[in-house]
Amino acid sequence: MGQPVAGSMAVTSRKVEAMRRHTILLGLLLALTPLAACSLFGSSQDDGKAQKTQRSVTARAQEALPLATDAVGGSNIDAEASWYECMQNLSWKYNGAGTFTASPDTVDNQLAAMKSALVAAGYEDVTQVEGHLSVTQGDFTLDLQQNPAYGPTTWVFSFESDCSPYSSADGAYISKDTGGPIEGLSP
Amino acid sequence: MRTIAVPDWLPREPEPQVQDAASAVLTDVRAAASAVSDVSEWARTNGAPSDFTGNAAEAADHAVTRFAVDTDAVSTALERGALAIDEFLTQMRQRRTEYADLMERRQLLNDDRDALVQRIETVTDDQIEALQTEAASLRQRFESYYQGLQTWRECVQTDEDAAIRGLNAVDELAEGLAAANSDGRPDTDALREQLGRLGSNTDAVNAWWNGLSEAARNALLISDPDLIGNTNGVPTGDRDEANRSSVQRDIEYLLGLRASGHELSASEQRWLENAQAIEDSIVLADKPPYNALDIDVNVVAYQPQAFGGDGIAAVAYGDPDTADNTAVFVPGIMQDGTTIDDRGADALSLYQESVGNQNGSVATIAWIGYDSPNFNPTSMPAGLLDGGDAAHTLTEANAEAGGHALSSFVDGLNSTHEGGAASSNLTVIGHSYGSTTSAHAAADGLAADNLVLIGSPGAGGGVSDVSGLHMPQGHVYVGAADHDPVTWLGGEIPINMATGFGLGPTHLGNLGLGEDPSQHDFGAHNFAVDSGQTFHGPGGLVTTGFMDNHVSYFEGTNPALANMADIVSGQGDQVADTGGRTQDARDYLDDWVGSEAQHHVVDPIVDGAVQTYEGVRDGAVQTYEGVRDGAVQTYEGVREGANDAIDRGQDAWDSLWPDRWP
Repeated sequence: MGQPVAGSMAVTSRKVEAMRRHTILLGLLLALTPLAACSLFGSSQDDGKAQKTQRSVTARAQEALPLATDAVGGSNIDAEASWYECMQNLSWKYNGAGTFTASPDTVDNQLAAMKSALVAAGYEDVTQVEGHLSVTQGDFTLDLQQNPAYGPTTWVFSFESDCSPYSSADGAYISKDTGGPIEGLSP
Repeated sequence: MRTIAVPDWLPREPEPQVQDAASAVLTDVRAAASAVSDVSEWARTNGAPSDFTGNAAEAADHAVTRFAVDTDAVSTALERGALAIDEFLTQMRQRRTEYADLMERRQLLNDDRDALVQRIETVTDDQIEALQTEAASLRQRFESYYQGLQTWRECVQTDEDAAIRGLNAVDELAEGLAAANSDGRPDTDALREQLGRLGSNTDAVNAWWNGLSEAARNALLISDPDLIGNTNGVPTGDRDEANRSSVQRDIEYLLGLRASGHELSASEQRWLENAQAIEDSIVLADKPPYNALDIDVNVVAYQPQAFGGDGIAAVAYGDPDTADNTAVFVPGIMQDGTTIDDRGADALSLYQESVGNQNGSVATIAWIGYDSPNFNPTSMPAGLLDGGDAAHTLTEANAEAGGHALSSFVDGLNSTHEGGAASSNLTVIGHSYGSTTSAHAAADGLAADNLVLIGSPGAGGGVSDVSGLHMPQGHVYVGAADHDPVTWLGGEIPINMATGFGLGPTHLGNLGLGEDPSQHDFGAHNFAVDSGQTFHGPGGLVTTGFMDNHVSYFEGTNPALANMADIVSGQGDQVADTGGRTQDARDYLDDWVGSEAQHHVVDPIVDGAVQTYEGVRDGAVQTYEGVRDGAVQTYEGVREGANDAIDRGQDAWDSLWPDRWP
């Protein structure tokens, strides 16, 4: 049993060096070759992915935002969403942002109430920033904060998909998108 | 019965709504004036074609010259009109300030009136006289308010009349011709020459501009919007006016071409995309949630033809000439004028987070003012790789040139700040290749208070540690995500090429672009960031590593944004120092490669070995279990047989044994 594993480790050591070289070459290729972009992101095998992402993010926003707002006795959700280019011609995400008004309470209480409601609905708490609440579910992330610049009862939120490459056909769809309001957000 | 006369509650005066509309009209008029000025200039310099001779040439020359004179008259008329509107807007800004003061007075008066009414409701006889005196004083203050309001209304009317008179004075061709020939018309050629002599001295440019008459400034905004809009040292508001009219002029021209059936060439299409990206970056501030913040947006650079059509663009959210805190965000590779809207979104995120700190006013600027390496083939010199100028990512050449441009831009911001450079906390934030560019600027003497390097492939400029960046001590900040592969490139990662002929490899340079600034030994203040998601394989390296982890520093979920906002708003001392990396950047790369080896090579082998072992083990277990089961069965058979024998013996014994002893 020990012999084959030791042998494979020796092979692995050489592979590591080879992979290191490949990794460096990959970095170079990425920087040098537009063909890399074309071959990786120019195929049309996954057309419709952008629409799927948009529908999925919108649906999650329509579910999560009313939950969060309801948890703090809030109202007046106002949000718009559009496509955003993470890296030119390489990756995009569908994102949105907006505000809602909450009933007066402490920020800590409201963060706890929203977290409780969203986690109960299956969202994972991934908060890393003090004073924010960040939750995720699949390819959807929502961030909420009470930003004093907006006034004491206004909450600001943003939501988004991950940055991801899309096909040429999806790229055409994305570039035509001018964004717009998200409907159906009333709690 | 004794009376206390309380004045009537003061109604709210409608707010003058002319500002936005008049600003839009001014931009329209300036755009039209610039376009006509260009045509006039062309006609004046061309005259009759050179191959025309005799009467035909004379006739053509006359016709073109006449056309030049007429268009010049139109241009002058529009210039005068723009001046009248601009003056009206200046007056209106003053009137809005006065209006705000008046409404504040009104609120105070109404509050005092309400308080008085409340006291009157419970008044006793001995208090009546005092309250009557108080009511009389209040009536006087109300009267004074009404007089102030009336004066203000008359001023608004006077301003409007003056603007209309100014427009009426040049609404006929003859008036335009007269204006064009008047002695008082600013000589824009001479003004341009004066500006040219000032070079890159932004303080001198600022002093010169502020010393010009309103008419001269207006004339330059129309004759040379591209120059004025992109000259460091010209105040932000004037750059904005110039650039907005250029953007509008270009969009109208290009959409007009398209509407006339002309198919836009690739470079024209890119030109249009540059202009439209500026428009989009302006609109962003009017969308939720930013619309609630009433952000003053300023276009501080617009050169769509720069760098082979990649374009230069910069948009400020907030007014850097008055802001207590200003940030200049310098993006990295794959950026050009067409991406100013998305980088503007990053600057807006930073703006929102920074104003939330409530430590003074804020302006954040997305600055694409250098030739960021990208994949645009049209911006690449012929004969080189068809990879656009992305190959420049491998060298610091663009970063070095960009560093000079950045320094000049920052100098301009310092010169135009109304309170002087010392009253503004200015931060430069470089991301990716933009961090190399920013480091180059710093190494050469960047006049900023803070430098932030995020997702850096190396601090360029040949610096070995933070001292080479010449920033105030403790004011170089670094954010590097563990799973951002671009941050694995700094430091010594040699690129060697085999030369053959037994000569050994040739060292071509390092993979990164200078020292890794996130190293503890580099000496910067390292702040916490989201470390990003782990990934596997070349696909994951590209899609998750480069395209997600590397570009997430401005997301609200990422501590990087809140930390950068603290730095921008002058609270850098509140940002915790994580100490930086103690492993070389290349170790991160090696670790990832090692983990890839583990993931792709070792794990499958170990899995295989385990599978084999498990097979053997299972077989052995099966055999053992078979043996055991057999043995057990045998034993149980023996045992059962023995038990049976014992039972039977017992029975026999029992049958022999009497039930009870006698």
